Parts: sequence; C-alpha cells; structure tokens
Amino acid sequence: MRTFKVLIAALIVALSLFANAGTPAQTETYFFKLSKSLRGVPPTLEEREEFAKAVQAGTAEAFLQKKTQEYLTDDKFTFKLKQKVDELLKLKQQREFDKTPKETGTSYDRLVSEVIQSNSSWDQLLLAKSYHYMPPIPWDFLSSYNEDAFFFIPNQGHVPSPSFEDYLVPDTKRVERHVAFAPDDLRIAGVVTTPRFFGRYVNTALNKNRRRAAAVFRVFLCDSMAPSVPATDNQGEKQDFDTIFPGHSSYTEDDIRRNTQADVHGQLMDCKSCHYKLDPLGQVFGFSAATLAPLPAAGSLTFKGQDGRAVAIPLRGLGDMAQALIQQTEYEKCQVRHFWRWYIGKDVPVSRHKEQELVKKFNDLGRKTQDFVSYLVSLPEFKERPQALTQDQLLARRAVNIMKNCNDCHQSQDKDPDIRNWDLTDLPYSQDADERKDAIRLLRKNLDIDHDGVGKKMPPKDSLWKLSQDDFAILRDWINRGAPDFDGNAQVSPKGTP
Amino acid sequence: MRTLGTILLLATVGFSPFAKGSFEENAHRYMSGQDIIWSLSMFFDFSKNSNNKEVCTELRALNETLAGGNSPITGEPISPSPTQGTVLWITGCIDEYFASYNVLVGDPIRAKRLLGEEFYKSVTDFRLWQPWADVPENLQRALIRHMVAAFLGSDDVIKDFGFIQNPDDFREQLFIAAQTRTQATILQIVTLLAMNLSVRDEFLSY
Repeated sequence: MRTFKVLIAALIVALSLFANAGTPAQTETYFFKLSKSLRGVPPTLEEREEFAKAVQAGTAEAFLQKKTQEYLTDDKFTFKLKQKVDELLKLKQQREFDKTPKETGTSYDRLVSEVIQSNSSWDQLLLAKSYHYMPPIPWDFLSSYNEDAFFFIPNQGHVPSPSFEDYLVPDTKRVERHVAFAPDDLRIAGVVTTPRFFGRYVNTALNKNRRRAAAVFRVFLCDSMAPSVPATDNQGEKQDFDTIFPGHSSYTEDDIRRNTQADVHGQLMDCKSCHYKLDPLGQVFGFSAATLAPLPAAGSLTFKGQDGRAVAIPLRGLGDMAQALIQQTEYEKCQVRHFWRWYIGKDVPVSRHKEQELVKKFNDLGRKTQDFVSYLVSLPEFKERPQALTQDQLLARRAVNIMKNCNDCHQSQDKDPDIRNWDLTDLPYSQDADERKDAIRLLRKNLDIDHDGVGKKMPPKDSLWKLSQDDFAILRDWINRGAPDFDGNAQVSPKGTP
Repeated sequence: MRTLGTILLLATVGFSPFAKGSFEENAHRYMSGQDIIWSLSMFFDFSKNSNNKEVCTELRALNETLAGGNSPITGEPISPSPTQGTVLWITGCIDEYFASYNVLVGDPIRAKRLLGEEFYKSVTDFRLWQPWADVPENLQRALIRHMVAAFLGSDDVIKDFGFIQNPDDFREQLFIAAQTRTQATILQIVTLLAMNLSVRDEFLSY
C-alpha cells in the first residue's frame, strides 16, 4: 500500500511538470507578466501591496488598467520597444539606458524614442520630417555618425565649423541640434533618411541602393526575398557566381567592363523575381552615399500584393515612398505582425481572421504605438498561461517555417492565381476535407517528400533555395502524422490509418 | 520504493529551474539582458562592487552573450535559454556585491526590500556577520518567506508558473538547506538565498 501511494504521488508530481493548463493566468500572474513584458522588471513590493488591496476592494481590473497606462509611459518601456525596433532594422542596439536618448542620441535614436514616448502614430517612423540630435564631439574624428555632415551639407553646402570654444566645451554641455525640413520635402522619410540607416545599409556602385531598398521591403512590407539569399558553402557560392555571371571564366577585359555597366545579373529570370522590386525602389535613394542627396530622385514602389494585385506607384522621392508605403495593406499587416511577435510571441500563430481584427484595431486607434500595445496586452492570448507544445503542434510550426520559403516565390511571381493566393503558412489549408487532402497530396508529390526530393518539381532546379535532408525529414514526419495544424489537429488521416 | 519516491520528489526541485520546451517555441519568455540587470538592481546596487562592476551594471561585449543577446547577423538569440554562463554571471555579481558592500549601512532601502521589514529591524542587533544559528527560528523563516515572495512572487503566482506545486514545501526545503550550514553567518545564508532565487525561471522569465 505504501509503495502504491509513493508511486501515485510520484506520478502526480511527474504529470504536473507537463500539465497543459490552457486556462487564463490568474490576475496576479497577469500583473507580473504585464510589468515584466512592458518595462522589464517585476512589480515592486509596494505595487504588490496596492494590488492586494485593490483585489480585496474588488477593483483589480481598474488597478491593472491604471498600471498598464503607467507602464506605457515609463522610460523603460520606451527603451525596450526601441531596442525591438533596433533589432528589426538590424542596428546595433543601444545598451546604456541611463545615457539614452538625449545624451547619446543620434537622429535615429531620438526619432524612434519620440514616436514611442509621445504615443504618435507608428507611421511617423516613415513620415517624420524633423530630427533632434547631439552634434558630434569636435575632436572625435572617428565618430561613426556625423549627423551634421549628413543633414547640413545638402542644405548649406558645408558643415557648421566648430569654434575654438566648442573644443573646450565638455561633452555634457553640448547643445542638441534640431533640423527641420519642409513637410513636402521629397528627400526625407523618417528613420530611412538617418545616418544610422545609411551607415548600416551601405551603398556601392554595384549595389545601387538595392540593399537599402531590400531593408525597406523587409521592415515595412515583411518581404524578405529569401530566394535571393546566396549559398554560403563553396559549392553553392560557385553555383551562384556562375548563375550571376555566366561564362565568366572566358571573359575578356571588354566583357567585364560591359557587364559592370549592363548589370547582367539583374536581367536573369530567377534574379528578376526580386530585382523587379529592388531596382525601382533603389533608384529613389538616388545619389545618396554617405550623406543625404541634395535633390530627390524618382523611382517606383513595385511589387505584387498578397491578393495578387500589381502595385506600381511612381515616386518622386523618398518622401513619396513613405506616403505610398503606409497606404499599403501589406504594410498594415506587416506592422501588426511585428507588434504581435514582440508582445504575444512568435510562437503564437496569427490566423487570417485574427490578423484582420488586429489591422482594424491598429487603424481604429490611429496606429498609435502605446494605444495598440495597450490593446495587445489586454488580449486573451497575452493573458493565457504558458503551456508546453505537443509534438504535433511543434511539428506544425517547424513545417510552416520551411514553407515560408515557398511563399516568398509563389506569392510574388506564380502565374496561377490559385497557387499565388495559397498561403502555405496558414493552417489548416481549407475547411473542406477533400481540398485539404488534395493540397497535402500536391505538396507530397511536387516536393517528392518520400524520396528526399529526388524527383521533385519544386523548388525548381535553378532555385537558390533548396530543402535540406532535415527539412525533408520534418515535412515527411508532419505529413505522415496527418499534417497537423497549429492546435495539433490532423488535417488529413495520418499514414497507416484509414 | 520510498527512496525512489523521495528521489522523484526531489527531482522536481532539481529540474524545475529549467523551462519546458525550447526558448524559441515555448511560451515562457525570458527577460532580456537589460531586464535582468534592472530586476536585480531592485535588490542590489552593483555599482558598489569592488571588481568588474561594469559587467554587472551594463551590457557589454563581455556579458552580452550570457544575457540572451541577439546575433546581429541573424537577429536570433545567441543562446535559446539561460546557460551556465548566465548563472555564473548573475551569482558572481551577487557574491561580489555582498563581499564588497555593507548593505545594511549603505543602502537601507534595498536592504529592507531584500530582507523584509521584520528581519531588517532585528538584524541590526545581530549584524550580518553573526552566526545564522543564533537567529531565532521564527526570524529565519520570516526571512525565507520574504525573500521567496520578493523574488518569485506570492504563492498564487509561484503555483501558477507551474514548476513549484507546493510553495510551503519549497520554503521548507530552503530552510532545511540553510540549517545544514551550521557554521554559516547570516550574510552567507542571505547570499546563498539571493543567488538561488535570482537564477530561477520564476524570476528570469514570465
């Protein structure tokens, strides 16, 4: 009997480790999560006492709403959200909280912080036409971000020269500068026209501002153009080089000169899938190298929308680019997904229906940063207690991660509208059981999943992206288990079952 | 069988600091490196450390990889969850803090936050260098009760997290562990408790 009791106790303890509660977190746990998520620290002891009193008085909800608003105006919230924006733009993160943003502040740092702190529209990251920054230390010749040179040379043709007194002024007494451009200045587009962005995405004669254009597509339209990422192994690099420069081993000097001018690489079909978007947008950056261009340059915002529509908006400059971007549905969806990932989690999938709800709320709130975050942390998905994923749920997420690469090509260039509009990352594939069966069968056949892609049709032979053996193993396992969706429910009958 | 049951029960304590599932795909979110520094600064002023205070107060190249930083190339975390290095970083800073600084004299606000009002008032009679064994049991338990609540939260929050099913048992285990150190001073016990609690998942994640 004693043995039996010990075994039962051990079983209960063991099961509790893997308990999938699936119930909303208790209110106090939610309070802890709110504080840690928004401002990076747990509630203070004094706050916990106030919360306990509020619970006793039956005013816990009002207390939590008040605290949410308080946390959103906290400097730590601004710092944390700014760090997330830094990660998004792949900029080196600001590490020193105490020295941010006024003391160290570059124009980029100040702009992002101000948008967050003042609860401005998120669009201001693109639409802003004025900047504050601390001028560089006069003797700091190695300063990476010379804001004065970036903003003043195009306007005045020279950089304000430091006086002798400037050399004597200690760092802490530097006076911040403010540079404001006209509201219709076509050269200016918020964070995109800052030294930090230009410094991070450096332009070259060969690159022709495509790197900057690619960053704009990735950050604001969530178009990462994955197929254009080259291989990193020797064999893959050689293959890519042969694709970009066919016949290069027999080039004469004249051929090399001609190819540098003619941009052969940009004319090849596989390359065009990205270049038709990158090249026109790159032109809008004009002659911008290390500083802002003195004149705007024309180009266009060109891409295929997720609904299959062809977008080709002529642009007179970066200012027009900013205006055009914020009006795209892809921009709205992309930005709400960023916020979802930051505050709910990238492991919590967003269905199409949920995405539409989020976009509507984002717009209803005027795209205001703090207001939208306040909305997100009030959602059940934020309040839900953490739960471990089952094997099927984990497998679904891994399979979808592989399918993202398929989406990148198919959604942008497939001629068949059914394939183009099929989001391979949105599970389940259909409400109709027969349609789901057909979809899975198509995947299995075209990728030749059962034979590690020996007889595959997709991805095409000349595609720069290929599935690895691990990828095939994941997809095979996923399909054999019935291609479960994010909740772990099989879309089709698992292999071996009728 | 009794031994096996005991081992299984103790295993829940031993393995509980580690989150279920992977950092990228599980719903437990670890605080960022800056969050960890801020959260620890509620209890410790690491600027008073004699050695390597920058490692404990700022994120630098030296400690960024230990604190969950992202690789600038991929944008993904360098490590999916806290590592042994993270634990050594946090506990090293705490150890150095108590070794360098008389927290009772220098920072009464943080001292009260760390020790609790009840223990703080009584310890001025004992001083932190007095033997732990000389402290009355009720004060010993009050200290443990306060520190667990201060770092991990109330019993409801602890249970809701899912690792500790019975907070009373957890506190009892800490008390028993403290009692086994018969030669320890109050300072040593406080240091050990602070180190233990500050590297638990309940403190580092949400």
